[in-house]
Amino acid sequence: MKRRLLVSATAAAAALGLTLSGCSSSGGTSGQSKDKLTWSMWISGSADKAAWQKVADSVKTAGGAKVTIQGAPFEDYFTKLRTQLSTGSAPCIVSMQSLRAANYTDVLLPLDSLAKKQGVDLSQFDSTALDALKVDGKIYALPYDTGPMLLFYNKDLFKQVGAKAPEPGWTVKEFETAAAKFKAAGKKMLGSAIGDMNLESMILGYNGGRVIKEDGTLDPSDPKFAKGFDWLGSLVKKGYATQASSDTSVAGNDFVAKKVAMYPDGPWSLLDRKGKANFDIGITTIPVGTAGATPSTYSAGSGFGISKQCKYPDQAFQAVKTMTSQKVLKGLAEQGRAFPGRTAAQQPWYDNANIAGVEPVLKAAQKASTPLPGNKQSDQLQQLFFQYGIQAVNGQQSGAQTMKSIAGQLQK
Amino acid sequence: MTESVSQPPPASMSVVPPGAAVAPGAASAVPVTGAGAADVVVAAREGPKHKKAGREPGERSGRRQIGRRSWWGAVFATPHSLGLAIFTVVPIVASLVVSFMNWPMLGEHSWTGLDNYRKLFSDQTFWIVARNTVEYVVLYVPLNLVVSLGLAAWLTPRIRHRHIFRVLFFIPTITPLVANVVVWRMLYQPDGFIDATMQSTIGVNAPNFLADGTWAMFAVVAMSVWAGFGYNMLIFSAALDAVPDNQLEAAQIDGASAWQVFWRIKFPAISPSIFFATMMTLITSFQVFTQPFLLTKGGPGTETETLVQYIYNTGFQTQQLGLASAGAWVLFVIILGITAVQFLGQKRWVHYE
Repeated sequence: MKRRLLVSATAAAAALGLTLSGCSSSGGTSGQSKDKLTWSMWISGSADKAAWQKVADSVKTAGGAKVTIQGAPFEDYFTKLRTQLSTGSAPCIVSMQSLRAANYTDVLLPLDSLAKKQGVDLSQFDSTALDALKVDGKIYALPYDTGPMLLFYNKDLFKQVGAKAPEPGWTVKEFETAAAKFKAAGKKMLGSAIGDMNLESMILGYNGGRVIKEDGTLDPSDPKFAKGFDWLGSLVKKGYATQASSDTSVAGNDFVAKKVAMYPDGPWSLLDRKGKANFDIGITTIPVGTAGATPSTYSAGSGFGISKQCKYPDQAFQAVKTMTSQKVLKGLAEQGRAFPGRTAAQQPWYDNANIAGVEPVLKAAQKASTPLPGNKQSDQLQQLFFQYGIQAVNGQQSGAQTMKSIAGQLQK
Repeated sequence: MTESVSQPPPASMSVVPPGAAVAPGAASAVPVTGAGAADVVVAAREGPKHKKAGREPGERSGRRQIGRRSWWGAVFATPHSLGLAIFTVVPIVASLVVSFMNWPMLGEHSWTGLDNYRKLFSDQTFWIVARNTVEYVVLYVPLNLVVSLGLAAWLTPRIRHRHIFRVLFFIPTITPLVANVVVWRMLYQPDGFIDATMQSTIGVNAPNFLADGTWAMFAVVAMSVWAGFGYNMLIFSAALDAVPDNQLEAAQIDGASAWQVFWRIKFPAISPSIFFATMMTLITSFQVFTQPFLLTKGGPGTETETLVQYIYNTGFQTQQLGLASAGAWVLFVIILGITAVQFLGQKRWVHYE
């Protein structure tokens, strides 16, 4: 009997061991040196990886260090990064998204003095992009891309159902009129998306409601934001929009598969979608509740920063400088990877996009946008949107109830 | 694979009476539950050996031999002991220590005594996820056992091409769960396979399984059973093959029906395997994470959030490693308790020859 208990204890202990050690991250980066640096980046596929590999190689070509990419899918990127930074195996070069920068100021090096030392002309960067990566006036990353949240739409389907093509600056009323046309034709116009940027931009455009205030503090009690949730729920209920899914890729996939005619996304994915879709793709601004209301959408950007633990900040900055240079960003623009964070590299992106009307729409959207501020709880908020936001959009709970549940979880 | 299957069931290895022979390859026949199962086997092997060594007659020359023998024993045990120490014992002890500390992922650590446990038990969400986990276990374990035992009983040697069926049924177990989830999403989502089929046949929309609170847990359980029954089926199938023919023949001559043969002869004969399978399935199902996390991210609301996801969220999103460790220990104690109860209860129904 005793031995059997021992056996059971061993089994359970081993089982616990699995629970605890199952999540450990792999791949230390202690092998960095002056001419060998590691760069952590979100990678979404082999084509993506090839494009970023080119960026990494450009550093060596420019006489800098050999840069090795350490990739993770975007969804897991920040979880993994946190763990790495806490265990001392930090990569020197760290990719950072603007709305998460505030969460990482304790582990990232402010770049202002390095930029001065190495003679980087910051005025050549798109000011929205650069500002988005500043926290308390200090720059934590040099931007490689930027962009406001937009709506992508299927021009062919709009023609087919006889809906008027959306003009930049269109209103919620016009949006719903078009959606009704789709409904009459037995189709759903909008693909619901509950990722933080998508959701928060749609609600900001609708009534100005926001869950993260301008100064970056969380305010889940904003009644306007809850109302915005109810509006998104009403779109589903009326048959204008699909039910939301906790899988972020559903709306985009439905769009490419012509199951929906419209969904929110940013310029960073436009050319990828254009390549996959076999229809005429268009972009427009997020609909506004009251005509002329600004800001009516959020912008975000990403850039490259340097971890505080990095022993070779000068070399790392040199690499970042090359990776955000006009030449490299132009190359990325031509491949359609990113809407460049440098003003002078944006024209090649427009030329390459080759979509009628893309330039005025993007410029109008940028004008109407405000950076989505970061907060230490941004990642948790995103997770809570996946769990609870889905209930509000699918009409199982009111926006107010949903935000109450989210607030309860955030206070922990 | 089929060769190792026709061996006596690895299941019985873990619970063989002291001194019984342990067939080679037992550990390799239990690949899926990994460390857990392997340790059971090792513990069963090592136990009787030590006892035997202790009972060795106390002759002078013999004693030296024992010393040398146990030294060699230690050498042979080193690779496994090292692995056990590095990957199991050290993390477990470390997590116990961390569970009494306030340990943010970055920043200062400090002792907090029982604060983490207090915080845990006063957190409403913790009780909700604990209930969800129990719900999952209560639904999943019996279903898994019934399906796997049923299919194993059906796959008698009389079935033609039974090896092909065995392989087919085992495939979901060896394909990565992430790939399985992608396929099941396509079945479950609105306009997905189930919804589309229902619309075209009976003209009614299927519920949005993964986003609807009343269905989400059932959807997760159904997917898990599909992905998980193959392993137990293999164990049962092998155990059933090992039931001596003469017993079955004797029963048939006595006029027993197929039903009676199964419940009176086969079931008691394979009860050690069933016991083993039940125990391992219970342990792994208390630790369920991948299926709900990938299918629903724990939603809608907290409907499918399990204990391990709660631990994961606490550790990696709110970055309170102390609290997460405390959660892991509570889960450990629950699993330990339930496993102990099973061992106590086995006398009533498990038959060892």
